[in-house]
Amino acid sequence: MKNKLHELRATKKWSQSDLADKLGVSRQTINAIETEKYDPSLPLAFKVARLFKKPIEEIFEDTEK
Amino acid sequence: MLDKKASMLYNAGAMNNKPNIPEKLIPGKNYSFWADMKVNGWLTSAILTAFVSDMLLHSDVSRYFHLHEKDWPVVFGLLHPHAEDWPVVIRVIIELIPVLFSLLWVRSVARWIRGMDELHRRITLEACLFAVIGTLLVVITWHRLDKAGVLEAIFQPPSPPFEHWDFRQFAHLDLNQFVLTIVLLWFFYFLGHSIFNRRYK
Repeated sequence: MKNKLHELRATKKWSQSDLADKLGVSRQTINAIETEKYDPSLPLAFKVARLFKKPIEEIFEDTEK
Repeated sequence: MLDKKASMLYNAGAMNNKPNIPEKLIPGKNYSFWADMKVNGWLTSAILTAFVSDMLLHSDVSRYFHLHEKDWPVVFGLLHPHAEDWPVVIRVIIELIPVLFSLLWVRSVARWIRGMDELHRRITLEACLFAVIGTLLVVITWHRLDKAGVLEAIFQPPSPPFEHWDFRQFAHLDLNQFVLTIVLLWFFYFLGHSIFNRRYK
C-alpha cells in the first residue's frame, strides 16, 4: 500500500522520532510504513489521519484498485 | 468534532508515547536491565526456587551437578535424606512455587507484549511461534534419533553431566532436558526475532 506519510511529515518538519512519539509507536514502525514494508492497522491509520487532519484515503492509497 | 469520550481515548493513546521495544531485553545498545527485570524477574525467581526444590526433593540433582555431601552438608546431609518423609502438603508447596512464579512470568511477558506497538508485537509473536516450532522440531527429531539408537552410537560412551539424552523423561521435567529446552527456546526466539525484524528494517 502506497502512502504519503513521508511527504506529510516533511511538510511539518518532524523527524521520524517526533512522529513516532505523537502516534505512540516506535521509530522503526514509522520507517517501515514510510518505506512501504509494513501496512498500518486501521486504528493507527485513523490516528495518522487525525494527526494530519486529512481523510485516510488521501494518505494511504490502495494499490490493488 | 470529537465528543469528550472519544477525545479522552485519543489523548490516552497519545500519552503512551514510549511503547515497549524488544531490543530493551536483548543485549546491545538499547538493553535495559530494569526493563529486563520487570519482564523476567519472575522467571529468575522461578529458576532459583526450582533449583532449591530440585536440590531438596529430586534425587538426581547431585548426580548432574556433581554436588557432594561434604560441600553441601545441610542440604544433602540433613534436609535431602528426610525430604521424602515430609508431609505431602509441604512437598506439593515446594514443587508448585516455581510453577506459580512461572505463571506470573507469563503474565508479565503478556503485559510487556501488550505494551508494544503493533509492528513490534507482530515481530515478537512471530518470533515466539518460530521458537516454539523450532524447539518442538529439535526435541522430536532428537527423541526419534535417540529411539533409533543413533545418538547412543554417536555419544558412546555418554559424556557427563548428560548421562542420557532421552526426551521421554521430559514428562518428569528432568533437570538437564528442561534447561536444554529453555536454551533451545531462547536460541530460536533470538534467531526468529533477527529474521523477522530484518524484514521491516
